[in-house]
Amino acid sequence: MPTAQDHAQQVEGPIRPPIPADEADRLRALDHYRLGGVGREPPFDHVTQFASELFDAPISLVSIVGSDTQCFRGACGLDAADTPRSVAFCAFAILQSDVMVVSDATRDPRFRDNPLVTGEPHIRFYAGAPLRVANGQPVGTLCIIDSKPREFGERERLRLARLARTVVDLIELRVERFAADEHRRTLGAERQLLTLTVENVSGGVAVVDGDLRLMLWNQAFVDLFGYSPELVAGGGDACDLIRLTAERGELGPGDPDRIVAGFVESIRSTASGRLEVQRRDGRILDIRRESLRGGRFIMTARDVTQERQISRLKDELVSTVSHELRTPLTAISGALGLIAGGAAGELPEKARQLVAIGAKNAERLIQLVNDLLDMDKLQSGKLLFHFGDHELGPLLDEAIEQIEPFAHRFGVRVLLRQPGEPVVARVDPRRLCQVVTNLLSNACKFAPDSEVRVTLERQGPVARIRVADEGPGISPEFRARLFNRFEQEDGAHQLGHTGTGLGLAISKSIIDAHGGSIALDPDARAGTTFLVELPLIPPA
Amino acid sequence: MDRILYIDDEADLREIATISLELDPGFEVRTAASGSDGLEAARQWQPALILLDVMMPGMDGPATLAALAANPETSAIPVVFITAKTHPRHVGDLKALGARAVLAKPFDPMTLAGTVRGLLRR
Repeated sequence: MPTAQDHAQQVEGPIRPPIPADEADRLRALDHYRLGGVGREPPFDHVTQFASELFDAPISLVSIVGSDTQCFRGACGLDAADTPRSVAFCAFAILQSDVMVVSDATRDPRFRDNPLVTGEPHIRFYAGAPLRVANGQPVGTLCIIDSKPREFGERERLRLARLARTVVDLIELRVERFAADEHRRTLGAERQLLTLTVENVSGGVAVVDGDLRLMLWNQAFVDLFGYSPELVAGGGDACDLIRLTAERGELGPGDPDRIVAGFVESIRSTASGRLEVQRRDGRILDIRRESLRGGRFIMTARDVTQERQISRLKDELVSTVSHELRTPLTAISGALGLIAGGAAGELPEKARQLVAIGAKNAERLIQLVNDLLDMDKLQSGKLLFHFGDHELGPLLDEAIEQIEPFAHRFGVRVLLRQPGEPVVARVDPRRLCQVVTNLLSNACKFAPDSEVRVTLERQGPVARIRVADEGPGISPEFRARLFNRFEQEDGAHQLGHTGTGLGLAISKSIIDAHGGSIALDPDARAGTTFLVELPLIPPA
Repeated sequence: MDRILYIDDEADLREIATISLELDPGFEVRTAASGSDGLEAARQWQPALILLDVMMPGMDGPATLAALAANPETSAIPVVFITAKTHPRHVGDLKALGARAVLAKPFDPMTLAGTVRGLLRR
């Protein structure tokens, strides 16, 4: 007997499938497995073909139930690509935990008015196994359909359920393949970017793997070494490249095989290396090697021929200019020095003053030439240091003694305070004196007619030399530039303070070379105080 | 009296060096304006020490030193280079040639004699 609900359905059309409570999660699973949209896929077609034959059913489908439609990813015996979800048997089947069987749709109130029952394809029998993916969500079904009513035994249900599990396996594999494809695409894009980057680097670059085979290289690398394209094509053997370079005599004298063995040994035992290669055509290459993960390493090559030429020319220029300047300066300062020193007899007062002016300015020129040369040597790392363990107190005494005549001229009294016990540090005495006299001469120039205090003290692991004057101090704006080359505080020249602006830059380089530091004392309340710190030698 | 021979192509420097060195009353100074003149003076006058300029036209300092060393009459005379090229590489090269010392130009005219006296004692 028809129920009231059946009656209502007869009036209002087929019963719509209920929507699962966790529909949103189910739709997210569809997205994750990329099952949305239309389109059949051969593996699913093959399964439906097999199901059709196995169950002797005219129609079999892998149906994915979307929010509004069910789409057939695999189909046998049906040409349609999709149907509305509202009429889908599968939309009911996904609500079941097990296989849903409709033996005769005309006798099932849920389906008897379904247009797929009343019209094409005249469904009578339906059996659908839900396709539950890894998180348990049913994304669709594997179903078989017949236009004749039929019974479906327990064994057949079991078989359909098993086949559905195979479809789920296919879905899982498919999404893994998507991920792998994407990974491959990303890798491909990254490799393309890397190749493009490497190709556009101005120097030569090559990456070599743990088996010493070229993995990646650019044209500049091949060109710089003059390798033939065949030698590197398809990732050549790095040993072959080294041997060829050795055979050309570009890696120094010796048996090429032994040179190759030496290189391999060095690659295996050290994380990085640097080498200069002189090509037969005279070009000089700067080669660097850095280890990468997995036994790989990257080699970079740069043509430094021009740099070396310029550096040599600059050395020659500096050397020549200094010679040309020093020869006349030697004569001028020598002559004036002899006169001022009384070697030519007593001078009238006026003449003595004039000679003193001449001598002072000759001294300035000599200082300028010396500063320029020191700076040049410091910059090129060619300034030689003669380090030794020295007591700092006597060195400071010596520096003060050297500056005494200069300080006297400015009316400056230099006072030294030092601890009773010796303070020993590893220093180049001549260079340290140079730093201290530089600080003292600055103090004399900027704080005339006053006292300049030099203090030596131990401060934990360092020796601290403090040079404090009572001058006007250094403006906050100039403090940041204090140790830059050719920097002088604005107005210094107007005040008659002369200098090259190199003294503090040189001092800083010298103290740096000692592993120490030089800085302004930020706590000084008046005047200027420089702090020089040097690592102490612990007493034996 | 210790004889000092100063070889330099710069006339002004020869004059200043002479006055500077003669501040030591124990020095007798002679000068030569070229390497070849210096060789001849060294051979004939047999100085106790030679101060030798490096950059000179014709026979330069190193060539002069080599010639002095090659001649048994002058090979025992200590030679001190005096040069404006004070690059450590140059100084090292000059010492390697066999010079007793390398002095820098400009020198202090009031202490040159003392420096040379010290080198003589070495």
